[in-house]
Amino acid sequence: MLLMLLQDDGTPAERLDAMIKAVAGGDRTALADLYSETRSGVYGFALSMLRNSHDAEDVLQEAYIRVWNSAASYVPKGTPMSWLLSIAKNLALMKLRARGRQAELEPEEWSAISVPDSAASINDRHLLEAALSILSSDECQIVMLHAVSGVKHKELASLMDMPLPTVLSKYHRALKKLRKYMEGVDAND
Amino acid sequence: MTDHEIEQRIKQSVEACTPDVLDKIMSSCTSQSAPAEESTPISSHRRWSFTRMAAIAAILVVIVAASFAFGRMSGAPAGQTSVASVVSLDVNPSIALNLDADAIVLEAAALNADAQEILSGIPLEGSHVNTAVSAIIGSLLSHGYIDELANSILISVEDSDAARGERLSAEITQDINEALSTASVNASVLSQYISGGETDNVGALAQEYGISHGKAALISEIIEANPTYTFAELSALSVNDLNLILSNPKNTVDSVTSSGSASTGAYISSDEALNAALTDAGLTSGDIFDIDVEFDVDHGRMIYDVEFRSGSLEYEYEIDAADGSIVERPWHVQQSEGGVVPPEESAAPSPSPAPQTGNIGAEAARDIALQHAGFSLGDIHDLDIELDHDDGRLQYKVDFNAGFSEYEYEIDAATGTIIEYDIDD
Repeated sequence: MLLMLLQDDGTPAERLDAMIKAVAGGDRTALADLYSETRSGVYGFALSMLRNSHDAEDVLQEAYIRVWNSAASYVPKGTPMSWLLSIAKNLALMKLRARGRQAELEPEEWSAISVPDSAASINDRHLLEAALSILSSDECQIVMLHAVSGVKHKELASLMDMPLPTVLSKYHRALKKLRKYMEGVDAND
Repeated sequence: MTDHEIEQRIKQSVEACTPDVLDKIMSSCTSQSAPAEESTPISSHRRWSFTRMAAIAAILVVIVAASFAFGRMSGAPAGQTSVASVVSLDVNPSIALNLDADAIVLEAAALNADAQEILSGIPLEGSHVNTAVSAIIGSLLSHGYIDELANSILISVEDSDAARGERLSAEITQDINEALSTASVNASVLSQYISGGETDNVGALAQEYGISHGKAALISEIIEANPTYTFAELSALSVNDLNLILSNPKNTVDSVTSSGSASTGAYISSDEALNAALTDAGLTSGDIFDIDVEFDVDHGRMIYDVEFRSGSLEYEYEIDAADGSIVERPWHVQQSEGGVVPPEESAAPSPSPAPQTGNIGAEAARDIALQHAGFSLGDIHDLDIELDHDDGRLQYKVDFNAGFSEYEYEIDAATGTIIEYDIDD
């Protein structure tokens, strides 16, 4: 198995890099490994852009099909996660263009997202819901990319085509909004 | 709750709700091929909610209405003179004039309540557009809509014939400038031509936000130049405010011509905005250089973007243009350009600005973080420092990169205590 071939001390970026190269060689197990390691980061980013769980699921699925078909053209530039997220971003933008304009997540659609009680607490679920509803589109994407996809601020600035100070400012403001929201939730509990 | 805890909880929640589509992916990935131009058809999960269908229906109504309106320009219904051009004037009152091919007014429409007052008692139908525009300008002046606090007028001409539309736009602009000059009014006139192909989208936006086609077209152009704005926040601004933010070099719009300068009378001066920032930073005008102060918008509020450098640090402030207050206190400092500060500058740092009472200052906060992380200034890059109010106290957020790691510190601005830090490898 691919992962067994990797050195234990490989960084996450090195592991993903090796997986993508293996996918380029037609290794389906590597594709499954890549999916397993990165799917929540890709889904979270797509969800933050689209604010619609069904569209985000479509992007998640399509992104890895694209990876399968385009891994041969992968050139290590930046981090492999950034490459993967760029694919997801382009697919999400296509969705947005097809939709005409960005739509908000509607309550009934949010409730359709399956979050097993055992896997995420009610408060955590509220926090995610808040991130998707009270944060601006940019703020939500920045938080998702940093928290879930593990993208560093500097890469994030490149991925979102924003100056680093803007990214940091939006990031801090977003967390401040979420903290205030959770303080309100806790106070009502 | 710390930033790290918030991030962890969001991460856990996303991980829990991420659907498992591996089987679908693997079934589509049997043999590799070149990526298709269009997205591979995949199962659709769309469930059209009532509200979404209602929204789409509303948009369709708007598009049909816009198509109808524009259709009148290109094909005359039986028994009617066709509309060749639509001229709109926006100040706060918004007025639309439908013209025939000879620039005769077929209809004058008040697009908001203020405009009804302007048009009241002025018979415009049948007059030439030059006469009509002069009469409207006179009414705007007499009703006090153009004054030293707001002196901007937006003229928009919609016409499927580009040559005619642009000629009309130029002529009307000249007429307005002459009328205002005669009245000794220092006004600023923005003029634009809107082609037939743009009207559907612009019409839908105008309808959605309750503004004129002309203002919707101008806002669309500004957002194209600067996508950080939202249509909603700009739609709430007056034409004068839009004219002010057009003066910001990052909002350059080539398709709009302007004459005169937008009035700043409703706001504090750029010098006052700079002084507000300097006072907050504990600096004086002698401490700073590379100063840039520009109008901008933050969540619909007119602000000044104030940027300057002092020593090795760059400061960015947002100052409320109306009252000089600091907007959400984004006291923002970053390392000067070039990433790493030159060694000689590191060895002999510039004098630290005098900190405010109870505030250790940005450079002290930076040094506390660097000392804790075991770095000198020359070791790090992408330094960013922000002063913010969190948990009822003033604190510095110090972010920087060193090697392949990202460091984030929160430091109490009063005591210099490290509240929290995170190292992201």
